[in-house]
Amino acid sequence: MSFLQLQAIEKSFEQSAPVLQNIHLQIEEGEFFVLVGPSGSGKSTLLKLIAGLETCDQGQIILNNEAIEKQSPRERNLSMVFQNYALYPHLTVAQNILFGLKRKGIDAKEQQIRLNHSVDLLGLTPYLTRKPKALSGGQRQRVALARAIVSQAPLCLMDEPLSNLDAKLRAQMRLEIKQLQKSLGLTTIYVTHDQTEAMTMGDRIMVLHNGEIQQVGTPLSLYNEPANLFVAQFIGSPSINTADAILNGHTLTIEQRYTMELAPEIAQNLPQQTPFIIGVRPETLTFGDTFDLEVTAQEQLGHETQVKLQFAEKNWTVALQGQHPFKKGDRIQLAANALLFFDAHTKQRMKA
Amino acid sequence: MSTEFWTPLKLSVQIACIAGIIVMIVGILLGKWMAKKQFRGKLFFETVLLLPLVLPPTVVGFLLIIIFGKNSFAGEAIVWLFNAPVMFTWWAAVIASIVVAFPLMYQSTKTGFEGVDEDIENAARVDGAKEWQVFFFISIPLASKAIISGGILSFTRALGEFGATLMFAGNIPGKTQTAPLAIYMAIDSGNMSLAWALVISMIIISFLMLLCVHLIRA
Repeated sequence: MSFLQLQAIEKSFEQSAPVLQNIHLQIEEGEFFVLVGPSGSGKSTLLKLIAGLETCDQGQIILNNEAIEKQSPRERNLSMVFQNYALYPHLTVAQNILFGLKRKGIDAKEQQIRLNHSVDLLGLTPYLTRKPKALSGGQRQRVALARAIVSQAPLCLMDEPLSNLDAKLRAQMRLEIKQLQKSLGLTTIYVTHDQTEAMTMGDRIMVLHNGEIQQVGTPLSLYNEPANLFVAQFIGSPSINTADAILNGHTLTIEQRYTMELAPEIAQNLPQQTPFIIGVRPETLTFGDTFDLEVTAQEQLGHETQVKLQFAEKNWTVALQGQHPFKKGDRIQLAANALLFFDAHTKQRMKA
Repeated sequence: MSTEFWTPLKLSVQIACIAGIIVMIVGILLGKWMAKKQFRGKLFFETVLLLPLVLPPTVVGFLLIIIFGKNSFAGEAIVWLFNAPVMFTWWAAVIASIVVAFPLMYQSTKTGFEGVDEDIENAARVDGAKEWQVFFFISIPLASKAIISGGILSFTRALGEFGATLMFAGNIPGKTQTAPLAIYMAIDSGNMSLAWALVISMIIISFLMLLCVHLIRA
């Protein structure tokens, strides 16, 4: 039996399209599970359903072999870190961290022990008597984490906890949260719209789009074997290049102007003379002679050069290792080595 | 100073205090409930609640007489319960003050509670707080500025109530004759020094109250 199970969860708000449909999910103890999707995909709503801050229309939520979907948030015994931290502005850091323990009637000595442990862990000791207003963004974030940790709840929910931090601090907190989670063995559900966060932090990732599960898997399985075009485009940065293609024998014709030969063992798994969609990751394109493309822009990152290209009516990107001084209007010859194939109608990936 | 100065002033403050406390309690509860609740007819209901703010006090007084008068259901219920009608009593003055002061409190608390970040209340719920604990430990402290300034405004408004009190509670010295009524009577009888004394007292109290509101909001 899994630690947390969601069964056939449905949710819609008044007079609008369903926010969540047919959500089935199992999360194991100690797992760092990431819910990722664009804004409006229903990921925050799903987190609120688990927390008990929203009620589901249908379905079951089972935590530790107990159905909890009808329980109030306080009965569920979980902790949560909010996007804007949601610290209690009228209370000091120490009072913020202890608020829940006081409400639960935890013994005063035990409160002090847990407080000291959490502030040690997060480096908050000098700030205990400060109000949240007098803290920086990163410090507030740590208070929110400390508040979640002291509860010693076995499940921690995080709703885009890093989105209000600047890029450098975000990268640092990403690592800290991950280390904290592993050292405490805390089962964590982490919501984000940022695929980099999802890839770097998640043991497993669930991609949500329009309230439906697109795919659940490890970061690399999502990257290497996306279930459909949406996942392929959502995971990976820069985003995957796509084009229309048609297969004739072993010859693949792309956007009616470029041709390349496919290996027989790949071609035999694909439909003949039926249009489909190919996907090419920018970092898998290499110099070659399949495509002859015009450079429209370029971004030098130092270790890598990202070149924007005109590809028929589409825009493609190639990520080349090292520094390449291309200019707008230059022509560049490339070959694709690893292709992904998608059905033109269902957008599902075709295994080849 | 004479009793004809102190009695109405004391009465005004007493009535305004009791009315203010009742208005605060009801205003906090209703303001909280209305702040995050959506239902059909909410707009209509709120407009009715705010109506005493703009109605002539004589209209309020008239309606109070109709609602609590001898032949009304509420009037009969009160006679049955307390063995005496409420009209022309100290409590009638309190009721009149409550009705005219309530809109100020309601508006202020509702705005205050609307401004409380729902995530903070939710954080408290997840943290293990019961609903009443969320209300007392989070919502009320976070809306405290609005609650206190609403309370002071209501108190000040109750203190100055004239029209509805006159119609519904009468003008009985020592019982329902509040400072505003006493001022009117003093001028009517040519007792200008008493009128001056009461007028200046009222101005000082009201000024200090409004000053507090501004200090709290600043």
